[in-house]
Amino acid sequence: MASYFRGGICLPSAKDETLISPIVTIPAPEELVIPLPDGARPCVAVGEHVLRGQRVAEAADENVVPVHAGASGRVAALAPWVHSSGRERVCVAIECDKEQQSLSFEGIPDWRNAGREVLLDAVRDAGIAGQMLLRTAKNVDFVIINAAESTPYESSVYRIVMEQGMDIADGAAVLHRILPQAELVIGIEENRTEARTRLEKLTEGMEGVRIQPLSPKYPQSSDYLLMRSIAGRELTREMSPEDLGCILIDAASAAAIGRAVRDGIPLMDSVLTAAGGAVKTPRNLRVPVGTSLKAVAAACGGFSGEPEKIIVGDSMQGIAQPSMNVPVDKDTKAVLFLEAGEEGGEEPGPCVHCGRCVDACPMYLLPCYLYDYARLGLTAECMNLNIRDCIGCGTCTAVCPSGIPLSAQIRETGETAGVQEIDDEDILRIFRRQGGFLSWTNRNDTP
Amino acid sequence: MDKPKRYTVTPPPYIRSAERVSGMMLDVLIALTPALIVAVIIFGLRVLMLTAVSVASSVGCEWLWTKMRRRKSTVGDLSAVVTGVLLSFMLPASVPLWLPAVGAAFAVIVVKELFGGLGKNLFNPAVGGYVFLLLSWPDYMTRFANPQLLRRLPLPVFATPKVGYVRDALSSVPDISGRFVDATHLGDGSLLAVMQSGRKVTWDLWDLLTGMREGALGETAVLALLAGCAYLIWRRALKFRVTAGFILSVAVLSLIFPMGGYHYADTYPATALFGGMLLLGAIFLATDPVTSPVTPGGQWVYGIGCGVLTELIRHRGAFPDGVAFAILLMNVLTWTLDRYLRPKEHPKLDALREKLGKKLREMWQRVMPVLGKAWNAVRAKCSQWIAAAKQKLAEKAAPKAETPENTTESADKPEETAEKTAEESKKSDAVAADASAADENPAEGEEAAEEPEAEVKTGDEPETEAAEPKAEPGDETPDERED
Repeated sequence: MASYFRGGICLPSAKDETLISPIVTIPAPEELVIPLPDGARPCVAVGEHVLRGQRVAEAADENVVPVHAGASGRVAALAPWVHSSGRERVCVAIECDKEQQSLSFEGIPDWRNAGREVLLDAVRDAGIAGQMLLRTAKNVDFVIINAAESTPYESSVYRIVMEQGMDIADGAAVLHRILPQAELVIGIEENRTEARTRLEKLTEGMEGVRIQPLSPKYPQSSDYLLMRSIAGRELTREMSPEDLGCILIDAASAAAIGRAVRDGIPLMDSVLTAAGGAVKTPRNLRVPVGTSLKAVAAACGGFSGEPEKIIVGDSMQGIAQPSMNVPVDKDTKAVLFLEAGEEGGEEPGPCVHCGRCVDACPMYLLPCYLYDYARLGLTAECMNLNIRDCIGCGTCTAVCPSGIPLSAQIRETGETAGVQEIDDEDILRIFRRQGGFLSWTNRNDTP
Repeated sequence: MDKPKRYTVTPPPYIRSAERVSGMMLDVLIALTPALIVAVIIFGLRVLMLTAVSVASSVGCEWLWTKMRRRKSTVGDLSAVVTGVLLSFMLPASVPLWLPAVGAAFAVIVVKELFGGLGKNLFNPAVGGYVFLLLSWPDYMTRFANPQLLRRLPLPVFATPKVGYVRDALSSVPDISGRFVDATHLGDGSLLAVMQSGRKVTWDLWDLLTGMREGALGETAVLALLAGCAYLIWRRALKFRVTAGFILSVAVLSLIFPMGGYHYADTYPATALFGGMLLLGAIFLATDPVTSPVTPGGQWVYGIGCGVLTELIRHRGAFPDGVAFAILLMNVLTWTLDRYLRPKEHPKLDALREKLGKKLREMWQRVMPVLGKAWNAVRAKCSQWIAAAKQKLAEKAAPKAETPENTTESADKPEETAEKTAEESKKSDAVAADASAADENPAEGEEAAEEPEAEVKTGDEPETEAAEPKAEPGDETPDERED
């Protein structure tokens, strides 16, 4: 399969320092605010003492996984708190001990020959999301492990491959046992030769597993383009990868699966790249889930300048945060503290129809026209131009010489365009909250 | 309790391209400079005067307009400068000085600003201004001074010359106004006009390429325009599909339908390509980003359509050169082409493109270090020569100070410097080879990132080298010497 895709852009790399810095495990912060997914019920009470690795929330239904504490301490509160996605979640707040105590973990003995159900239960009990998919998915042709990182700042996946490559290989073996009929492909950029050869060596001899070199262009690491490059299937916003016979897992989760089955360690830490011009030493960190962004910044040696923007996620698809009291979640891969000027806050100029956005769009869209029609509210025209195909990669905005916020406007209008008349105010609010970034600037309900 | 600090929340992506519209316009101006220089060589300093008037008028009118509308001045995006320069390039060198001023004012105010300013105009402003001038003052706009004759009698810089047709003097055919013109300079219609009038045309290909023919001051210098085109393609600042479609379609049509019958079958294609405003139009006018399509398919059809219309007007229309009208007519279709020729997926074509791209990148990666080494060798040689020459000068200047010890020292020094420069050039070769291998592929140069320790080491070397004392004047300041 060709790894070529149309459009995209080779973004200037801002991770030369962090690529070579090993993952640093910081000591437990003062407090953790662990977000619980909807459908998870806390199973600890306020005042109770928990150990590291202890379960703090049970799954109320099949689709949800339990949540574990990343550090030992006393449960201080069970209350809603702001989450990095912009919505509120019920959280378990833990005041951490000075002396950390951990549960002892036990993996599955002889896991390489264990049964499918045993493995699935281990994955679920370790708190790794997506286990339901693995259980119920039918006609899976591909299991794709996403080890591609085409964004400017994130290097956590690269470091995981270099330092914990064995975990990924073990996770691949587990996945292969769970879904033996599917082809397991680990996608990694072709120019990360060291990481690629390491993975190739670790998965040598494993049948049904192969490493696929991918294009170094952004947005190769997006789900849509991974499916196009590896499986040759076109994913749209209306469907999920399972409908097309693919299961997508990111490399950190694969490593977590390996660790959970082999050693019994639950998913309670997040490996992320903390970077940006405002921190003294950008580096890769392993932090317990629930660490506040303030503690992450402190772990980078503090601030060297006044941060202008705090972003959870990378600079292309991350979400700006209104304050630093937001907790890190299981799927956080990068936290950026950008100085003024790193992002370029000039007024956008007029569109000169240079066509760079059209050449850069990987989904064959016309961002400049979509922007105009979206601004004018012409949703029928937008649907005509397939506005719902937009994957929100932001490449169009990155190449625009006038600095027009194309992607934001297109995403905002694309969320609600073409959807049938919605009466329910609650659902409308959810749409706006989840996809409506432009309306988010008026948020006032921050801690 | 203090409220914690709030940070601004805006939607992603948090990145801004380093390009600006003014940068794109500046690239166009740089690409036009060779043609301007050649025009000054052929037609004299009047060219500079005309261009200056045109630019001053276009910039001034845009500034006045934005002030009148109480908006921020948009002059900084340099689009008015480009309009002014392009308009003046389409004019004969013999037009009165007020003509480009009027034309530029029309172009900027009527064709661009009245439609909504940059990005909203339907027609190309420079071409619109040219057509306005052509239709309003055809006598000034259709007389071109003969460049060969200008060597003896150059055009005045400020006064308005009167160009008379050569044939009026030599035959009894009257000029456009029906009477003999009181000419100060002799010239003719444009090359295409002469061909279409039925007269036999002979020209030298080299004259065509260097610009020694009757024509507008910016259209004649073929080689200079092509150099500008190469620069724009290198900077990725050109809608090259428009240019390619335009030029290819004119080339094909001129081969199939030569003007003047098949007598001119072998000469007409060259005339069609180099003898009119085609290159100026295809490279700089039709590719105006605002008025040309955004989609790849649209750009091809637009370019080919411009070529077809150009040849049609040349063969059957009333005007000798149809480039300007063709562009204006295709401008009308830009939006329609974008609407119906949207980008579509071609998996096989995409795979081919990727393979080709990879091959080209590999070739470039092999060629660049060699070029880098060659360049460094040349530089090292030159610094050797400079050092040796300076030594000789120093010896000549102080002959009395030469004692036997001094002479042996000074004899040793050139050898030392030669050795040191050879060493340094070897090391800088290695660094430059690494640097050039890493630099020219920012995407695939992640190898540089993966072996950053190695790079850090080689990076250190030239610094320690620089600290050593060297008899290489001109390369270092005395401060860097560590004696």
